Amino acid sequence: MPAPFPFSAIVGQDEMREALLMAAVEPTLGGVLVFGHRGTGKSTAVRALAGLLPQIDALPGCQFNCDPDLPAALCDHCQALTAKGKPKRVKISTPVIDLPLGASEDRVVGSLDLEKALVSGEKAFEPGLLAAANRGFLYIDEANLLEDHLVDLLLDVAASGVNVVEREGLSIRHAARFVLVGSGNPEEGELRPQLLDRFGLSVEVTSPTEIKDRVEVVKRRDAYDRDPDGFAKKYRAKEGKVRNRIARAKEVVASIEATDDTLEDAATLCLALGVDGLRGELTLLRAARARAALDGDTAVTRAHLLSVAPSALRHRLRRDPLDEAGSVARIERAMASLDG
Amino acid sequence: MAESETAWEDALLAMRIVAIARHRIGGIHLRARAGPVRDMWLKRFQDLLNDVPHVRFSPDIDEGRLLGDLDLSRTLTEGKPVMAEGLLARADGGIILLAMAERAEPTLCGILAGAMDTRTVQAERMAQTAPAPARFALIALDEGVDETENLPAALSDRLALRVDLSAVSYRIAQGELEIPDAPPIAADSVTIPDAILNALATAAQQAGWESIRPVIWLSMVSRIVAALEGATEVEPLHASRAIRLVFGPVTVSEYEDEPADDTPPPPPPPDEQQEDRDESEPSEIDFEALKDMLIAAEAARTMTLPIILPAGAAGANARGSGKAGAQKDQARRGRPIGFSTRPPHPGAKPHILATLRAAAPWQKIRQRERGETPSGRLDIRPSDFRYRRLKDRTESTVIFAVDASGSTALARLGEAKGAVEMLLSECYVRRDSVAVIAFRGLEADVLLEPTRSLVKAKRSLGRLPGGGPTPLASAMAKALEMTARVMREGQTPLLVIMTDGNANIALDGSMNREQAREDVTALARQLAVLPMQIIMIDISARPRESARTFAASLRADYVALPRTDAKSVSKLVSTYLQDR
Repeated sequence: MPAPFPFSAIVGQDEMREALLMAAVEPTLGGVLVFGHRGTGKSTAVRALAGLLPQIDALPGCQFNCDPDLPAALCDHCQALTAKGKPKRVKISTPVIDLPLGASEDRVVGSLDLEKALVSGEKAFEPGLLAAANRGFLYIDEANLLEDHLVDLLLDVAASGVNVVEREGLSIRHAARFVLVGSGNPEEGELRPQLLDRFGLSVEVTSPTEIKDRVEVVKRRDAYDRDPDGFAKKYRAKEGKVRNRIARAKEVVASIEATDDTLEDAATLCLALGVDGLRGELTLLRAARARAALDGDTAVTRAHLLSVAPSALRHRLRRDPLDEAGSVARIERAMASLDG
Repeated sequence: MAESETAWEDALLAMRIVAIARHRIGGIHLRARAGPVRDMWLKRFQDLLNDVPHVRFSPDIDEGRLLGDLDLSRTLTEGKPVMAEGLLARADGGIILLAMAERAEPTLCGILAGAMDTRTVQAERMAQTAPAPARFALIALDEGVDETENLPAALSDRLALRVDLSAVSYRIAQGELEIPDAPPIAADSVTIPDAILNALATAAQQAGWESIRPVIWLSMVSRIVAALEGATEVEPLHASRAIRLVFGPVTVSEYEDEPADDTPPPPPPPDEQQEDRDESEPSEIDFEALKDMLIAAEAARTMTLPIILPAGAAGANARGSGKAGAQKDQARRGRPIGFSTRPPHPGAKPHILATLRAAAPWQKIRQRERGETPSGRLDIRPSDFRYRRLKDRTESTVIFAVDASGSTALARLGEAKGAVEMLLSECYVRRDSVAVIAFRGLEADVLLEPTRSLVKAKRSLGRLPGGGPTPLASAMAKALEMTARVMREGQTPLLVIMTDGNANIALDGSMNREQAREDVTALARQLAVLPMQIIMIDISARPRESARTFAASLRADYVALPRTDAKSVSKLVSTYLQDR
């Protein structure tokens, strides 16, 4: 398989790139929704991110990417391993799993292991995409076109972090915590509100309008197409930098403080915009913390808060079809009033 | 004749380009009706690429076959799982021909687009196995009859080349034109001057392409065209040929109703070209050819189909709608979109093959549980039942025909617009679409093609003209046309006409009241026989008998709303939709 297109070779699209990095740093943020026209590099960015994520600890042979540091949530296999003494840990790359539009329920939640059932008549569970995505990313391209029954399924699992399968003698519960990343083109259909709400951040992408940027995109793409591996090599140093930035931020993000002032700012902003529920404030704070961590700062400031506000709140504003101003304009208005 | 020849020449060139660049070029969007010309093209294409796999399927293919799934009979006889290779994996290194591509559903498009982006495919049920390579060029055979029936944009955007065979005569196709020979030099070794790349990027942007892909395609195609001529550097002539191949003689309608967005002004400012030249091009490159192509691309983009309807064509139209009805019946049975463990409705019958497939792996286990020796008997239990899920075809499309003539036009249009947006924001769950036809002046305009997207509606309805006389007949003709199309797509139309019923412009655009009335009566007869609901909203300040008569001639429900406002209109339409 050829090397994927390097993340750092993407021209522009800062908001999208930063949002993806924040989601990588702070998994509890709830993922990212990338909405925009076709051919704006949405899928490219998500797929490129995979190569930059730090490796995670796991136990050998585990099909559910169990976290060895959480003994309570281990699968049978991992429990058996730990019962025998302290097992050797292995490093695996953070999974980035594609959820294709046409996926069947069986494939998403997992089903009977065909090989074992047919060859030895053994009843065993073959994990699905949700297991594969545990502790990693689940990516849905064209999320707005996803079949309703799959959306229901996802909502359920995303809320509980647990996937439950009950089928004729198979009874499986396994952890399924993942960062949901969706992309789509709003002109092809709206996203179901319940699913929209799950995403922590929402960014809107457009392709670069400057001719010179567009030309640069083409040149890089062209160079990549001709020689993927050579192109990836050229960006190795830059990719390393981004990788380190994520790793460092991940280490410090939990220790980053938010002052009462910033908490108040967040509340004021949400109130001014009429954002329902606490989810907005929570996301705003988590995003600001991730942002501070990525910037190498030790505390959250108003600047961090303001820089993430559009991504964190744009999809939470109550829909007013007769308000001509876009959601971004409304957020900006509210942000300006913070200073006043 | 010359046009026919050029089109065929381009079609042959496109063939060669695919033979050179294969999956890297995405493929060809081939617009042509099934017929001898297309057959000849396909035959030649097959011969040209006879050493690679060719896989052909139509949009109703099931996902298991596409991605690869359990081979039922072999699995049962051999007692171990045997996977049948999916068609996408089988096409690796070769060609996929997608017949009737204009009918491709979003799910199919998503699968194809995903495979084209990653160049791999993941077999169904085998989540843990490595994805199989699937590098293919896609030839989308688009048989769409008009501008609006088109290849879904998610796919057409990923195909570099556009070929239209509708103008090619059989004689030309049989003629002596040959496929260009393989290039003497490798296309990858051809360089492209910055000035030309800039011009191409400008061209794509001005033609309204938000997506960056067309620019990538333009750059690749121009290098291949140059290589074919043995040139080591792209010249403007190569670039202009590439523009024709990538943008096509008729452009993708998806972009047609999106006039170049709000940020960059749509008309190509010649000064900008000038600037490019001054900036980055010391020597004189002939941009004239490029510019001509640009203008042609722009013209093609804004081209609309002439309306073919008046009295004489009534017969043809009636036939058209009859056929639509028949197709709709077929569509009501629905298109399969996968399987489910739950019956879609009470009394649904399980799908035998899918049920067997689900039961197959359990046979050994159940046998053991029963304590029997292998008997060759199948043990099928209720939990194995699989039901085919069919695409729900009861979706509705609300077509608003809004009278924008006279003095109150602006307010009225504003309310209609509000109603559209309210309906769209409310009706996600119902999955209904909305379209808007506005009429004023000499002719009616389709302001908004059927859409489910609020974003798109907002944009298209942004600029609404008002005032002038009332071309009611033209509006009805457009509505009739759209209705037929909506039905053909298997949706149920609901026509909402907002007018006072006073037509004063005839179909041919003349200010002839008498003729206008006659046209309206003729069209009303046609609309009345269609199996659809029509609501006529009388918006005149003092409702008159003539409007009532008009409604009756349409067999429409008559509603007088002298103070039309968005809320009441959307509420009214909603009640109609909920009754379905």
